[in-house]
Amino acid sequence: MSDTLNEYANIIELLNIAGEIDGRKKIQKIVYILKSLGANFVENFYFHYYGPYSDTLTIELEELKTMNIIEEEKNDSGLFPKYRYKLKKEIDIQHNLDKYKDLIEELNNQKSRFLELVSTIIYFEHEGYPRDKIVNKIKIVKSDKNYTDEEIDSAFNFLKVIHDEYGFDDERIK
Amino acid sequence: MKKYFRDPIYNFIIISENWILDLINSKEFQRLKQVKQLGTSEVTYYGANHTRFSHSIGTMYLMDKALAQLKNVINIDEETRKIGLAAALLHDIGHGPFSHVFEKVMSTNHEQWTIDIILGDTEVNRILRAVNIDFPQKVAEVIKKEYEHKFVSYLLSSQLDVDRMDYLLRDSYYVGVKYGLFDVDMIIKSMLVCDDNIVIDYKGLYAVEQYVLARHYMYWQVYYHKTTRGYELLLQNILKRAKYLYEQNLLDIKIDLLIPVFKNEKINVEEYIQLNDSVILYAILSWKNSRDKILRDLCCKYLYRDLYKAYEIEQSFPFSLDAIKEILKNQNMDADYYLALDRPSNVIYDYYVEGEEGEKPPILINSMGKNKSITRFSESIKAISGSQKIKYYLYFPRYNYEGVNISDDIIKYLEELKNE
Repeated sequence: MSDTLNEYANIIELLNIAGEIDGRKKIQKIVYILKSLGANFVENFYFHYYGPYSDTLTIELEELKTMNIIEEEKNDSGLFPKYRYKLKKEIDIQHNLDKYKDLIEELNNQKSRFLELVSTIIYFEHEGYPRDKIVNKIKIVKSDKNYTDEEIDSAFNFLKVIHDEYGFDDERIK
Repeated sequence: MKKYFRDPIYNFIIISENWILDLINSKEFQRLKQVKQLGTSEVTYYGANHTRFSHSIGTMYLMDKALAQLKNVINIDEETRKIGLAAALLHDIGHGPFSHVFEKVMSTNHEQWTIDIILGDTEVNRILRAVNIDFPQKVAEVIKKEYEHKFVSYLLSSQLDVDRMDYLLRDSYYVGVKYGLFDVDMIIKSMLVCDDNIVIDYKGLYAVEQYVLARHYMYWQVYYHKTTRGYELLLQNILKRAKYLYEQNLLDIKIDLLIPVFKNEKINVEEYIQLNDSVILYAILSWKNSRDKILRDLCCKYLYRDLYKAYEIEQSFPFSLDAIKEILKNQNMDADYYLALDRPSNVIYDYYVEGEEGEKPPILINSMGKNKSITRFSESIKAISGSQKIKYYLYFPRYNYEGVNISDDIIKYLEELKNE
């Protein structure tokens, strides 16, 4: 891959594995979750109402779009726009994400509501809160989402499974 | 006691609460007078030397006005008001010198420092605790967007917030451009709260349009200015080189205050707040006499305005930089310090991009009881949010170490690429 695309390498590879990602929100959460496991993403995340969010990633998608690397399909018919992303052409990939291939496919099949919950839990775990405090915080910061106890439990279980399999890189997350 | 602050943007800012005056007088807050708001913009626009001190007071002033407006539509108790004011005043208190350049090289994080200063063993913390024992925690929650009254966090940090409104107005005033201006009073007058979110009544649509356009112009004309970005790159490379030399035990001129940072040690708040713009400038003045050729050269470039050449990229991506690296190599110049591609996503500021629902909340307009994204009402905002031409700049030196022009060859190569 040419060095002018180096900084986008992982985003390109992610789209290459996933094929198509339905929604900007979904890309945001997938990248955050992968980064928390130690995947080498350089984007900075901070907490933004709907969970961890990266302005850099948003602008990078804009850039890849104007570079003709990715295709953005915008559905503008509802109250809010919706986006879908895929690669526009074959591009050499660096194989940084090979070991996450199955996980990426699994994450891409999840609803973004669920990914939002999972990444919010990761964020609060990183902040050092124990499980009961995290559940409380979710009820405060995500009051409008009305997450049920079952959903919260299944998100914790999901996290445990992927942490067991891929490890958890506490330092890399920010 | 009443204090009158003369502010160039809002004229008189009157503060009559002692605890706020105490916060302003704390040593952690006073430090912000030594940290410039726009860092290297000063070399492009010589008026742009205002500090984070005035921006922080301005942000609190707008927060006060916004909360006063919202009191017309919802109940806001005195505690919530005070927490909002403190969060606005302190939201930038953790910024280091030349903020994100420093952060990038030194792997520090100003958001974390802000929280550490509010919660740690500091004057700011003692003043907040004197107001109420759980105040520091709640102020930190507002800044981290975890506060129970979400609209307060929204006012401080969202797509339309008092932080941005103040810095756009203030930056455009000091930079000397007029396109950062908008009707801030009308925006505040049109604010409503709906499900704990801030929404704008339809009557404020035109003022918000002006604000989004101001943000757009300021981004492309000021924050992503090629000269400013080039200076920032120089500064970044100076710090990168000095840190590298320190790690190799080769740094001949040591600056005491920077050593703990170079060592990557966990530094405490006391050490951190000693760092300001003057420390960095003093370091650059000292390092211009370094025995290391690269460090010396970069410092002289910084001090005597011998900028990298900024070349706007027009050819399609991807393309290879190998040939340019070869030219530099022939001049014994290390591409790590003399070649860089800059892109908008490297800039800490951003322009308005319309997110999805549940991604980053868009600006909402309330019309006849319904909230919709602003692009549903404004064609001009729709046109500039996303899908615009993005500029990339390639930076390389104009001259080799002997003062012979090398940029002409590089430009020639790039022009040929363009025509391929």
